[in-house]
Amino acid sequence: MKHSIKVKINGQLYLEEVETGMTLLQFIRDKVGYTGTKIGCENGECGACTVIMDGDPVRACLILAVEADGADITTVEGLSEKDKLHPLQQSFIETGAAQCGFCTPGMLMAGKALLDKKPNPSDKDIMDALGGHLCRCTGYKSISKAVEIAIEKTK
Amino acid sequence: MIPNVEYIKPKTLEETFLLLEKEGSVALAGGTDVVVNLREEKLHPQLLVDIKGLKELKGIKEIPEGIWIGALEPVQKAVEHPLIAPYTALVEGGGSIGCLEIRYRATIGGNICNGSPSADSVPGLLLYDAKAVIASKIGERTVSLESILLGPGKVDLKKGEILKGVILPKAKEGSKSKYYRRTRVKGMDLSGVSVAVYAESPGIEGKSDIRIALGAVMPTVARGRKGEAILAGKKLTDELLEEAINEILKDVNPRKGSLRAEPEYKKKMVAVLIKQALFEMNGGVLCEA
Repeated sequence: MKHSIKVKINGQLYLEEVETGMTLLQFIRDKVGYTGTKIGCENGECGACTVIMDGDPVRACLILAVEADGADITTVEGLSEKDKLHPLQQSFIETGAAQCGFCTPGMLMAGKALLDKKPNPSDKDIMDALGGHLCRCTGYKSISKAVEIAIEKTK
Repeated sequence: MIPNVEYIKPKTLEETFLLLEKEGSVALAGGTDVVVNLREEKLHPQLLVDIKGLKELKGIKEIPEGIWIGALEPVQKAVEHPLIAPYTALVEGGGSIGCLEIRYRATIGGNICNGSPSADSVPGLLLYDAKAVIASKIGERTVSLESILLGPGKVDLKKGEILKGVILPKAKEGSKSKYYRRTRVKGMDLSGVSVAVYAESPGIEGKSDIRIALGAVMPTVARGRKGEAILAGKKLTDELLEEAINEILKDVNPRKGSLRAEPEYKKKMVAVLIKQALFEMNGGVLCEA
């Protein structure tokens, strides 16, 4: 059974037909072609597929594409403005917060949602924002540091 | 792979009741359990009824009976809401579910209807005698939330019924509560054992109204009413507390073979966490000397 959905991704409107079983993650990658959103555990555990949906950070693997009908979504590709990196992307580079890079898009989107919601977050807010994201390379310190730097820059 | 089953997003309650009466229908709210269960083939619906279009199931507001929380309210929105702030155990319990991204999707109603004995938002709700408002095409019924929790994965919702929301009675002035849980790892994990405790000031020093709810140690989240009865109206002493905890532990019979904790550990932690909560709420002393 196909469903027509209308989804805005990174400012552009997409009208597509989807099957019920297609996740938002598959939709973003396979239908729209934004492969920055990563397929990790596909079980809501790892955070690699995090996108911002109507202002909230969410797991794209736990949402059916059909449920996203009418939603406004930002993926990691929507962070930079033309050639100008987002302050978070810049600070991730500066602190070496991206090593293999697989968790990075999810971390960036979690950081972006935090900055949008709470421009002056507490340490606990930062931990809450990043707490559901697994990284096997960095040991996390460089990532939270990068988010802290971006917070300072955007104040 | 998630099966390509039928999917309908009704706009009205009337339509929803009829859809939920159909054989093989499953209600879909935040999807943080349903989508996982579909993928893992633990759920085999013929029809997914996406209830997120129902405005009657949304909102957090003051009503004459207390505070209304619509079943569709995401856990994160609820725990951040100023009206929910006085219900500390609910804020702490809800705030311990999954991670932030999960909590923005997972709903209060979903945490209840999933029927998990370790549901983290439920002990806090039970402490305050929350009511469940259940609707169907024949009308609404309002019952105690505790009474609809039947067993692991089982809630007392009949075919065609839907949980509209919960009502939290007004929190009494000076009342406090705490939620503690133990997990295997510090990161995302389900509770291996959890305890929520409510105390009315000057309940701890003077006459007690102490309420206790337990998670992950019985087939459902439940109140330790026999222990509460021992404490009721009396001055809290070490001896009385021991007696109450022992009474509660008589009903605590955690199943063997849990992935998360052994029964012996769970029982020990029930006692430890009840004391810890009272200690915390009483400003660092457990009982008056």
